[in-house]
Amino acid sequence: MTKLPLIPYPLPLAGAAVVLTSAMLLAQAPNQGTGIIRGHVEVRRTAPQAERRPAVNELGMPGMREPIDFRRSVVYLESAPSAAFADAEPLRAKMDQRNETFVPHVLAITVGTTVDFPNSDQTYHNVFSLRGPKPFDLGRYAAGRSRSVRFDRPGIVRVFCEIHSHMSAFILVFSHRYFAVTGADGRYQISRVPPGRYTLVAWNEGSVRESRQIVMSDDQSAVEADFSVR
Amino acid sequence: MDIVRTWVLAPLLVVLGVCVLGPQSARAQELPSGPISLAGGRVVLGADMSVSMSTETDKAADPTHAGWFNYTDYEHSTMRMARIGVTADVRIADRMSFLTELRSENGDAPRPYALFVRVKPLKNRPFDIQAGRIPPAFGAFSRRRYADGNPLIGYPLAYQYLTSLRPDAIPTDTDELLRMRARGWRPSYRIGAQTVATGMPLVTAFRWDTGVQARVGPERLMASVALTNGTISDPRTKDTNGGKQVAGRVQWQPAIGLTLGGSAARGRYLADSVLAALSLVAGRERSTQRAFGADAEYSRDHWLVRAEAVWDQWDVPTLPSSMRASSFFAEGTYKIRPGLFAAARIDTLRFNRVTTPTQTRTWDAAITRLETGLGFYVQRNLVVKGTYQYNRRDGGLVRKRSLAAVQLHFWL
Repeated sequence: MTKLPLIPYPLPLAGAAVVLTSAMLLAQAPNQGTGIIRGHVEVRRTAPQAERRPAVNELGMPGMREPIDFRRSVVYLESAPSAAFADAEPLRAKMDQRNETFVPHVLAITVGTTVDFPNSDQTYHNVFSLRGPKPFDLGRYAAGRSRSVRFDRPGIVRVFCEIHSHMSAFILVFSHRYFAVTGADGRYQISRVPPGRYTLVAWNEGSVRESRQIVMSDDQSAVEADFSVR
Repeated sequence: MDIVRTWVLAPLLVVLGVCVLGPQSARAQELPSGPISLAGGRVVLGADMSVSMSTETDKAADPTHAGWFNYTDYEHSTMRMARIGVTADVRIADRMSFLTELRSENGDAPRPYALFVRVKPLKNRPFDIQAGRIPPAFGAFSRRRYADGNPLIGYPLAYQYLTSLRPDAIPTDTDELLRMRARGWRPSYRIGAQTVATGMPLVTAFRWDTGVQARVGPERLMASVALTNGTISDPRTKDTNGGKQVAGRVQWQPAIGLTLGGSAARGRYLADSVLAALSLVAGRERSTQRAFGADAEYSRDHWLVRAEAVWDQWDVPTLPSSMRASSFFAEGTYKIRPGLFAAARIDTLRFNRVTTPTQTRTWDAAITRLETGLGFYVQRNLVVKGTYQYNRRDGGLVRKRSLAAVQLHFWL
């Protein structure tokens, strides 16, 4: 189940944090690096599956849904080398709508990426986002069709379906490429990191959970950083 | 709100408090945006709160009371209403659930709007049985999801406007019936109950009937049939006349986004006490309500269009012909930009003509309603609506009335 913090406009604030911190360039950083940051994010809290609203009005029982994998986290550099902002090129990504679930539940992309939202169900969906860097409403479209949104500003986008209130997802838009989504086992890897001092952040389901300082030295090929998100 | 209502309402508010704050309080500072799941998902609680205010005057201050255009069979105006509803879905077994909705309007004692058991006897077949206070099989509007299924604030006339017919009292002749034209908010007749009560709408959206319902078929072609104590105009927990209503609906989705529906219902609506007062127990066949409905919904892109027609007929033992009424409404919603939408509904309610030695006219006053409005989503589950409603009626103390209304609606 997704939660919205009580503070006003939490997502724009979080998004602004991503924007601002991404813009804190490390001066004189080399253009390309060979370093690797890797580790494991342990999600120690148990997020319950988003339930349908009790359907007293409806006849019959609803069908099955795909379970959401809440263990997926995003690990990213809060500040990035200047070169990271120059090598971005337009990309495409996909967030499917399958069995009344957004797949993946968490998507991390770079600015300029166009995300396709195909409808793989035999019913209408209506993808929308009300706040954040890119408010949009794709309207209703049927199975087998897809609509797209290009994200031109960094931030956190909360995605919903107007018809199925239990459907929600996150898109994290970065202005650099130094991020990774954890695998099913919680492991992640950020490659081609130049030497430098960085703030590494692990994000899980809606808010920044944990950060730490790391140093990638010239003679180091990899840095291990594990997180435990509660 | 008096102290009795406060005590009765308290449990509902406690449940609501549990919904909003309970499981979340430990993580603090968060409002749930979806239903609350308890006991490993076996219990799911939802809530629905709305407050509506309008330029409609208060009934104590104005005897004409804005013409009673928006009053319900619980004597509340849909345009001036504070509503709290708590819904629960308790999964008793894999294929059996208990569902309920407790609802309080304007601080009244909570009522069980829905209270039923849902069983799916065949594992891989689209076949369900529901028993208790069940959702209506007839029509489309009254089964729309929560208040967010209504893009406006007012209700369609067929589902809300009170005609001058009562289930517990009848006129002695056509003249007496005509004297009650446009007085559905408080009709009184010489035969039957002498208590103050409202008339019946064509189909009520504010109470559900008690009985058993079966549904068969997948979403694309679904049929449902229900056997209940009351009728679509007067749902009842207790049977007052020993007769059951049979109602059914067939729904077809020829394409995604297009839904066509047809409904029918037939049942005895007059209480035995009325027939006993007439000594007409043998004449029960003259106390039947019949209804037919047709509805359509089409949506695409940022448009949603709905239309529904209802035809009703009541037999009144003391009158030579049946009383008939028909209603039609069409509504459309368009999303202007993310979070902002516009909506409009045109709505009519018509009645057949009856004749007395001195006059021929419709047995109740025909009414036309236009409602338009805008809605804005402050967040996904918090919407503000503002509407303008115009009513025109062919009778009654108030023939025309315009009013503006705003509504704040939150759900989880």
